[in-house]
Amino acid sequence: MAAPDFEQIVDSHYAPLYRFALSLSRAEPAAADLTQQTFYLWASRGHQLRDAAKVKSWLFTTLYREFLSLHRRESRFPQADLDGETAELPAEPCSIADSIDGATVVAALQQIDAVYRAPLTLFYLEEFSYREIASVLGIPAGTVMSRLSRGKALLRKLLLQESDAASRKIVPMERPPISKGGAQ
Amino acid sequence: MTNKDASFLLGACRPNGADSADPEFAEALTQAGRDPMLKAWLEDQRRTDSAIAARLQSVPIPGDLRSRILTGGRVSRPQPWLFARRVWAIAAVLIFFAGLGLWYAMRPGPDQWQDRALATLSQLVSGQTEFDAKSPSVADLQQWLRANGSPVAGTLPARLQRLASLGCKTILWNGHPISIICFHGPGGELVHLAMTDRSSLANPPPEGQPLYALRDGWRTASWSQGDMAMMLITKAPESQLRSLLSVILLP
Repeated sequence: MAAPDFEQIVDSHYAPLYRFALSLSRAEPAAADLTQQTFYLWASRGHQLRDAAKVKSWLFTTLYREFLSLHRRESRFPQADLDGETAELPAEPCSIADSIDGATVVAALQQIDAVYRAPLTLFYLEEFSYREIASVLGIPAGTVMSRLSRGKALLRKLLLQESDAASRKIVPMERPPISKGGAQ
Repeated sequence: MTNKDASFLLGACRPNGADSADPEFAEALTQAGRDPMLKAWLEDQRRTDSAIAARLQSVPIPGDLRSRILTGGRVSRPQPWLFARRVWAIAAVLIFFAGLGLWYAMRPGPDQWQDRALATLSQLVSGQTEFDAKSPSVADLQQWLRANGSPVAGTLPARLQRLASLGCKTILWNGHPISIICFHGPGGELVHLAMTDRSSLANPPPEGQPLYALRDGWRTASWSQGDMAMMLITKAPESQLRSLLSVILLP
């Protein structure tokens, strides 16, 4: 089977890559740059990859590393020990499915710390299993589960807050026209 | 497995069902089928996860991103012709240096034919190699050499032709034949005459006056005569070589 050409690879992966980048970088221009940079790296180095089945994993891994590389120049991620934190999390069901849109989800994701945001975004893009996410991010599979659990709880909390705020929003009522003549 | 453990595991199960067959989730899913509370939690979890996934996957992509990636990718890709040009350039450099090394190794040095002849003589004396032809008559050896296309002077100095010969041998040096004839010298010492085509040498010995040298215990006298380069060789003292040569070179 012939290896897919550059255009085929772009068409197959650029949309989820951009959404992953958007979640990580929190800004559309930065996300677009990150996505482009990933494909440029593929264009110049991708021929070194022997297994064509690993193209998707290579792209996401490279994008994430590029993001980390750029981000490290500006700041350091706060590293939290997640073991034990998940036990404190409430696992109560909540119903937010009908009250959110894409922009709200992205906005909520972008408020979450990057250590949770990256696995959470990959999980919701549904491109990878939790084991593959571990491989892309270079962390143990158990850590992915912990971060997903913690990240989901944070995301739900934020989405619920957003949902509540939207429902409590005061909509100004239209004032009835005032008659100039008044009551006789 | 407690419900908390099960919910922890199932939280990593993708909402699109892609992980349903993963054995890692099998036990937790079975438990969710039995436990109403866990089942309700899982249904809510899946509904919410599906909604979030659908929203995230519908986030619009900048309209020009694809074309920008494709354009930039074309620039970033290594050009096959550039790669081929580099390969050819490297190959050319390697061939050049290989050729240079070969030329250096093969180039005819001023004394190499003589060294080759002396090395063969040492082997002949020590019995490591043998004559190609044996005869007490130098005329027979000359005839044998001519018949085999080996270089031999048209006429040897008259006095040399009178010496008793032992045998002759032909060796190759850089593809050029060198003939060696061994004689019993006038005083009983061994005397050897090496000959090769003068044209095959970059620096043939001078015509007329011989060059004397001491090489690896051998005393040598080299000169050119007609189209031949000659070297007379002996272990005898230089005075005897000079004496011998004065006799040999007499017409």
